[in-house]
Amino acid sequence: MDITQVKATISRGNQAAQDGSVLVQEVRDRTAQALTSAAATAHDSTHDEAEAGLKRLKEAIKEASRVAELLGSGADAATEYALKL
Amino acid sequence: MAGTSVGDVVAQFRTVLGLIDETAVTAKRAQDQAQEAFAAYTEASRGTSDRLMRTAVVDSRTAGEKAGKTARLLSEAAEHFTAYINSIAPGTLPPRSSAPEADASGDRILAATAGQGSLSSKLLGRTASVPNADDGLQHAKKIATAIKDATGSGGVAVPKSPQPAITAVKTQDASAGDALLAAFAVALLGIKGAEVAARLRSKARTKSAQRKEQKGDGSGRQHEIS
Repeated sequence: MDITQVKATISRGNQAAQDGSVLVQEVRDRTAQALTSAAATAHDSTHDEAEAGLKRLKEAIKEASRVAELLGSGADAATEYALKL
Repeated sequence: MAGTSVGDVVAQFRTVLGLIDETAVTAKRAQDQAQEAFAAYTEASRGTSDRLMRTAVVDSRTAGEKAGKTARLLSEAAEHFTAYINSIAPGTLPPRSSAPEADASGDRILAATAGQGSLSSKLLGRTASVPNADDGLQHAKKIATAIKDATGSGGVAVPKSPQPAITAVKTQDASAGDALLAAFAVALLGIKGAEVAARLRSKARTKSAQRKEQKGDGSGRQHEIS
């Protein structure tokens, strides 16, 4: 694979990372919306299932944020490498 | 929530479940994109041990795994909320099976939401607001009338039979005609429905692209390679 091909492949990877980042930010926002709504509806419930559901949503928001960070840092590193070539 | 009935709670959780299901599908799409990025970085890093490319490969792989975990967490949240709803209003929702891995495939989501009608009812709600849906019905009606005219008793060469025979034949013809008309109308409505759904998908894609463009502008990160 020559330098041009390497750069093109990295560009393709960066585009996928960018698309994934947009999607996962959407996931984070919608999950936060679902959490707010679910918490408001079940706010006086101490039911195990309701609490477990809210906990999963909170974890999902954290994971989604981490995904966006990782896709960004991965693309940054790949871009830096490509610019050195 | 004082003054909120069980019915209200169930209705609100149905909406939440619909949102969670849709979001799980989006999380799976994000996972696909992360895996695509990982594959591209892996391919580009062949023959080099550069630290930067190692970072790109590891980060994109981890991102894919975490996006899958996000989808799984959403799926689990939906299971817990379903169990909660069924505990306060038994038999309200079909129970969801536990997903051993991040499995929020389209089929599963559709199966899960079929009972609730969340996605389908939204689609129907949107379809009702599309002005062209009425045109489709009018069109179907016109064609149905045309077929009726063509197969009706107004033709010149319809032979007359003795009374009892006519009754039997008429009934049979009417049933066949009705069945034909019904099948035709269903086919037409199906085609129209597919068109409307395609138009909705197209609109959603445009909207998503616009949103993407806006977010892309706001991300502040540039990955252009000269």
